Amino acid sequence: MLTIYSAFHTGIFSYRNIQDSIDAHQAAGQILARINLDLRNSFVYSADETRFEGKNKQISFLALVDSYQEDKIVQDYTFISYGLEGDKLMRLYRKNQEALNDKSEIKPEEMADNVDIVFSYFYIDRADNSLKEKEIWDDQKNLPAAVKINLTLKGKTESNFERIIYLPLSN
Amino acid sequence: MVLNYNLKNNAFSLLELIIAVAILSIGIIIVLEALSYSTRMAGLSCDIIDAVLLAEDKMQELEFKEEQNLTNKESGEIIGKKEGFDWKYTLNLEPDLNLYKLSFNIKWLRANREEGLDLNTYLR
Repeated sequence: MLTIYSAFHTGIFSYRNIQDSIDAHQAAGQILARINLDLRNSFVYSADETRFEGKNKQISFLALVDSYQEDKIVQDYTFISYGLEGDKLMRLYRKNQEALNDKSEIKPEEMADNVDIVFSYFYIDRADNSLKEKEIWDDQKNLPAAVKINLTLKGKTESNFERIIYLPLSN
Repeated sequence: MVLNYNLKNNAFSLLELIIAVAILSIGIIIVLEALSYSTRMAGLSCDIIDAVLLAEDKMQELEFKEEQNLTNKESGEIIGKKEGFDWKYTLNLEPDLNLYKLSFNIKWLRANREEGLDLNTYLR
């Protein structure tokens, strides 16, 4: 009986551990897919002002986002920002006229908690045609070539995820 | 003198006990096997999520580098390794479609068993 109990206990313990890992993977998958979609649809506001701002823990940019209007899919131009408030990942989403209104009262929404996120940015070094990484993106004339996202989900165990998202409209 | 024995038998026979223990053992084995299988499959689903993220990154990288003329589009096989995953992709020109077929294959080990994932897409 002790052996049976021990076998069940070990089985359930390991299942619970792996369940935490599944939850973390699914949450990370959703967060990264959302950021990927937004970044891949990012665009430049004007030749002198991309309105793309990349910091270590925050990123903001303009993007086209699909939405439904009278049973039709329409593309709204939006201002999107991802950042941390404590250990919460927040997403700010302002569309149409509000997109360019810096004094808008629209508040960011919580995407996930117990999270840490670090962004870094890649540019093309034309001297040797390679991608170089930098921590902050402040160039208002060009979009970065790619954005690296390092996402940490702090559950019972810490899970780390890394993605590099390439921006099709970068030059 | 008459001895008054109670001949009514209320206990289990040895055979009944053996059958009961056998049925219980089979039940326990099935439940434990199911538990072990579901744990293995849950772990595999985590690996698949990681593998898909890696494949997406690599596909985007290839698409981007070719658009930016950072690499030459050549048919062939490229291999690489990242965090327990061995990946390789092959790029072949499909003359009928005038498109490049990108076949991406990722392999990894889970509980000493090789698992894999194949993904295909077309590039201009």
